Amino acid sequence: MKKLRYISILCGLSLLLTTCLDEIELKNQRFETKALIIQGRLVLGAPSVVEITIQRVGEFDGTETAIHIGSAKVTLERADGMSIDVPEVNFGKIYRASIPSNQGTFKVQTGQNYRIKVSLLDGRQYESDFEPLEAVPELEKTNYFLEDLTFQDRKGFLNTAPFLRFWVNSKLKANGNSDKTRLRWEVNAVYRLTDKTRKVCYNYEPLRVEKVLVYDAPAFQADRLDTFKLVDVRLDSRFAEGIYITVLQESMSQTAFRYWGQVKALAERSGSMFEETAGTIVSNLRSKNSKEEVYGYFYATAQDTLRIYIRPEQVGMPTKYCPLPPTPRIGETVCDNCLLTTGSTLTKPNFWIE
Amino acid sequence: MNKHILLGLLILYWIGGTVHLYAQNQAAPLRISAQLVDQTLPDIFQYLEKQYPLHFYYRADELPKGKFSLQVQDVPLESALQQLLNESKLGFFRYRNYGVVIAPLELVNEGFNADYYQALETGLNANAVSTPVPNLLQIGDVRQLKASGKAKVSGLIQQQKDKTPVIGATIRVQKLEKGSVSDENGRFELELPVGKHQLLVQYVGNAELTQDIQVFSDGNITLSMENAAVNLDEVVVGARAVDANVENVQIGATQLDVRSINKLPAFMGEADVIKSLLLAPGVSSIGEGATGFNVRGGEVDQNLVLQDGGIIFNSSHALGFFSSFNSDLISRVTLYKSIIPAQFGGRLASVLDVEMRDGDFEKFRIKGGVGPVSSRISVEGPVIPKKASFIAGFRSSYSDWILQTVRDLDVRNSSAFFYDANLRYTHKLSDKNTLILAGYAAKDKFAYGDNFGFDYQTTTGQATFKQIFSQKFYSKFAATLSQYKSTQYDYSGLDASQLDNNIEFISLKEHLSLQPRAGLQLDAGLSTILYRSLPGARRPLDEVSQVFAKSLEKERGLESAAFVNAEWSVSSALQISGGLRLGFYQFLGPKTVFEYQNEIPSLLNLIDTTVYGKGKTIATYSSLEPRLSARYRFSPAVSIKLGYSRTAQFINQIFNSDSPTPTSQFQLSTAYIAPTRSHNVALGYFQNFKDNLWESSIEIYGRAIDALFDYQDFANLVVNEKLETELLKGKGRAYGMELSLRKNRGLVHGMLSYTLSRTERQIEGISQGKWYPSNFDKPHDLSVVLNYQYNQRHTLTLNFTYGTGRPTTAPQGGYRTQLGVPVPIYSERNALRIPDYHRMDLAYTIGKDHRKNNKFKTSWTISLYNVYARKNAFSVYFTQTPFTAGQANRLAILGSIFPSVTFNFETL
Repeated sequence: MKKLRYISILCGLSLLLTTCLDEIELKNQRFETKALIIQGRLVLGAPSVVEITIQRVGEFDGTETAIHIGSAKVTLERADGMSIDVPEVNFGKIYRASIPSNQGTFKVQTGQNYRIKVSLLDGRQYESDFEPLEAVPELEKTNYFLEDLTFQDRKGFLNTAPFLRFWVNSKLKANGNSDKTRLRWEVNAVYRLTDKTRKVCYNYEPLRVEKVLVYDAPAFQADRLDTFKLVDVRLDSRFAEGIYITVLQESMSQTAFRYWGQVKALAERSGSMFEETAGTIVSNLRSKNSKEEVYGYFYATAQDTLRIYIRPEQVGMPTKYCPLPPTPRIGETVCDNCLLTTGSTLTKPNFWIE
Repeated sequence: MNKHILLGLLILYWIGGTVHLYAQNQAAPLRISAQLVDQTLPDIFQYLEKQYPLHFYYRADELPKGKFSLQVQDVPLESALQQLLNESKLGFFRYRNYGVVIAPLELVNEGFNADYYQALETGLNANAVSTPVPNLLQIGDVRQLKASGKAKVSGLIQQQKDKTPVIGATIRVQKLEKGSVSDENGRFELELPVGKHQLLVQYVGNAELTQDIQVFSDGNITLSMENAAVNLDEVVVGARAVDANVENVQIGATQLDVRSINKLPAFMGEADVIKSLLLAPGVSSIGEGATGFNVRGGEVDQNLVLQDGGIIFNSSHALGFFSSFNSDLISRVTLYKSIIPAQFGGRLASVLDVEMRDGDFEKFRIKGGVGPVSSRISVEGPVIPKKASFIAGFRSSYSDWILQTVRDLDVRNSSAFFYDANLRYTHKLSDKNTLILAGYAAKDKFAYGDNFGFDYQTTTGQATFKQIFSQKFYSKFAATLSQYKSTQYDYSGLDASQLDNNIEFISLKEHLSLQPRAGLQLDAGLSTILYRSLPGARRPLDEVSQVFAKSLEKERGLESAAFVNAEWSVSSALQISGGLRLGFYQFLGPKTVFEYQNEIPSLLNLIDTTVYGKGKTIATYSSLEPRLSARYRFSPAVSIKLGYSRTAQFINQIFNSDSPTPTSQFQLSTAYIAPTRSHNVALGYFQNFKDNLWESSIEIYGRAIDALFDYQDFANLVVNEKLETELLKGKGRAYGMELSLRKNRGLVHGMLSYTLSRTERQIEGISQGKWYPSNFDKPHDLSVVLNYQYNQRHTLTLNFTYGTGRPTTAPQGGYRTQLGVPVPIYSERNALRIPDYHRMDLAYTIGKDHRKNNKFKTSWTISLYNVYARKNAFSVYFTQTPFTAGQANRLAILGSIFPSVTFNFETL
């Protein structure tokens, strides 16, 4: 019996040594032709804004990144035939147009359908399906819980740390609507960082971008959302000098929601044996003059935004990022120059009120 | 019968070896005289024997009881006997100078030809020159010898210890190129020339039995086999009969030697029937932990898994790590690969027929085993000695202690539990009638952290009535009631929910078998199965959940079939098994059926609904399924076989993942979901060497699946009343070559099997309508099993498997949303492959003590699973974050070596 116990322990130990998940090389096929990605969004507002990007597909392994295509003619069209041009800005990285709410000829309104048309210099033409613009329900409140959560680190060990769990209260029906609206959220942070030169930077950072935050309201019983958890953000030095959290809530049409739902499904794949076979998301854009595959999506949306400011003392005065511990370093660090961080600016946001 | 034998012995004794056979018209004329009045025939015969050099042979019970008179004077013996027997129904014939056989007239009137006498001569002389043989069994009555000089020997092979029939034993007639295999009742039939023969009976796990027989006429014989000493040469996996590889007419049939399962290296020490079958050519799975198995390019749900004839919908425990069969209770496991006999139907690719065994009719026995994650025990014994017996088995797992040792938090908070229980009661109502009542229950409970969980259970009850109308005609009637229920839990969040599925059925099957003559067996029968399924019902799991409760309508289907099959030994070389199965299926109401424009299921085409009442037929399908298998034996060691079968399937499992989940719904064929159908062909060459020491075979097969479906990307398959809108129709094909080489005995023995195959699909809407590999397309699949048995108790077994990595759909490119979320663009369906799979396992078996006086016997099996700790990829998935490039990741279900020790015990 002693032998049996000993061998049983060996069994357990062997399991401790195993790692079931690791990175591998997989010979991949490459695209023979460079397909096109067209993405766009029309946001209702004052003014309304439409932004379109046109790129070639990049390699999945990052060996070749997506290239922006400029000099295209892009138009935004309403279902009644009205259209406006969307001009190229920033050397073709984006096509953007602002549409004032009082513009007489082309109005952006809820209940209307919009699409985009794209013509490239080489004559290729593309257009999207018409997308309805639905009103967005009121985003009533956003806040957070401060909780200790257990998580697994990269080496597989368990750790516990404080997290801010952001949540929202929201209506699910827009004013005047009897049907519930499908929703999508983005959560962005702007935090202050002071370097050793006493320079104050404001760093813009989207939070938990990898998590696609969508809610299929018609598929659930709830008539409103209360303390609906969006993201968990670890309490760290970003909260040490003050931080603004902005929650942006978007309305989604059924087709746009399907697209984002599929993006979410692909983003959250875990390799489980029970996971559904992966597939390519079908675009609502197509080529008008060839059978060429087009990827990406265009949709129209209305937004509601809430923003909260979190003072350091509200979250236990986290340790500041700077100064860094005195270890040998090569080159300049963020603490030498806070502008080194991507998305950093010295301009204080106009909403920043302490 | 005793008189029969006695008479035969007398004849042989008297006739001896010195006399010659005379035809009746050649007998020496003998004239007799007698004045006998009102005497019994025996008295008259006795008188004549005293007066003349005559000997009369007869069966007393065949003689009339009345008085007879014989008053003749110097007349030929034949005239006198004709006068004497004139008013009786008896006749006579003479052989040799002084033998007179009195027998029923119909026997005597048969046209005895030269063959008859030649046979008689051969038979009698064979005995006459021999000294008495203690082991000699005599069969038949020489007076009943047919004109052909041949006799049918019907036999029963049974286990000596408990009188249970031995199924599939090989019976060979030494020096003749003849043989047979015992059927499911242990019976066999041979047509032999009169005379002395030696039978060699072989069955894996039993001692070889040699039996001398003396055949006079048609008769019966019962032979009892003894268990072989533990660890005698045993085939690891394969045909059970020693020369079945060459002899069996059925191509593509693989039989598992149940006794050897425990010797194979097993994951966590749990011997497994289905995992053992994976060593056979043409059988594969998509990886460790995957539910079910794939046969000749078939989906998991294209296998009909039967336990005593009852369908098992989920034959997996622990999500696929173990199968649901308790190996201690099994008598026979047969897998029919694509060429399926007519008595089976309803699945495209294969039939796995698992027969449970009867309990011991004479004494109680306990058997069991203890492993690191599960244990099993079985008890059997007589209820009424020699008349009724029971056998009960129970297995259960206790694997949570292992999960607690794993670093992953979710795994550590997980639990996995299963049990299964079998009970079988066998009652021999008479020599000819047997009633079997069986019950089976299995349950699994699995929870993955606080994320999700599964519960699933099977409950089956079965009654089987076997009836032997005669030695040549018997029937088997079975009624089965079964239910499979499954539940999936999503524990957390606003969508915490419970998803229920179930399917239940009642089946009736009558199977008649008739052997009108030696070398011909006819099978016919009827079967019907009434299915009732709940395709899906979801409800919120708790008060926090916001999930809508939704339940699909129950569905009903009636699958009926009539079948007939003939197995005919045209000659000793050529044997044909041909049959026809006529299937008929009805999809029944009550049901609300959606109507689509142009009958093309699509959400955009939805135009109306039709409500069907209870019992109303919504859709009907029929299938005419010819089945054929033929074997031509060039010599005792060489044969070729070919086969064809048409198969249809009226129930499919719906899953769009690599492996079905326990809650993947079973979907009956509907007005929009047509049955799947397949043509299957196979051709094989089989050769054994060195008196069946070596077996080899090569089979090529092809399958054309002319109706199947696949799923569109991101298909919504859960609780979807318009499921048909998510399916895409198409066709499939599978083809390949299977090689098998086996050494059956010796210090080192084992097997090698290799399969070269492809399985592909063509579905409109997937991969631009081009052919693409199916999820389980493995072009190369190799298994090697080596046993090093240096004495009867100790065996070292090595198992090595290799398989091409299965296809997967992988990102070829990608883009990011404007916020930075990566969106991969995937290749065409299954355009890439995950890394190849290979694994080596070892097992060391310390066999049972074979001392006869030891009433409690134990054995140990020490296994090392995945010896070199290869991290075989079960799947490859791809990650990409907003800040990093895409990366392929390998998910290895078992990434380490898994040692285990299993302790087995048995009372004798």
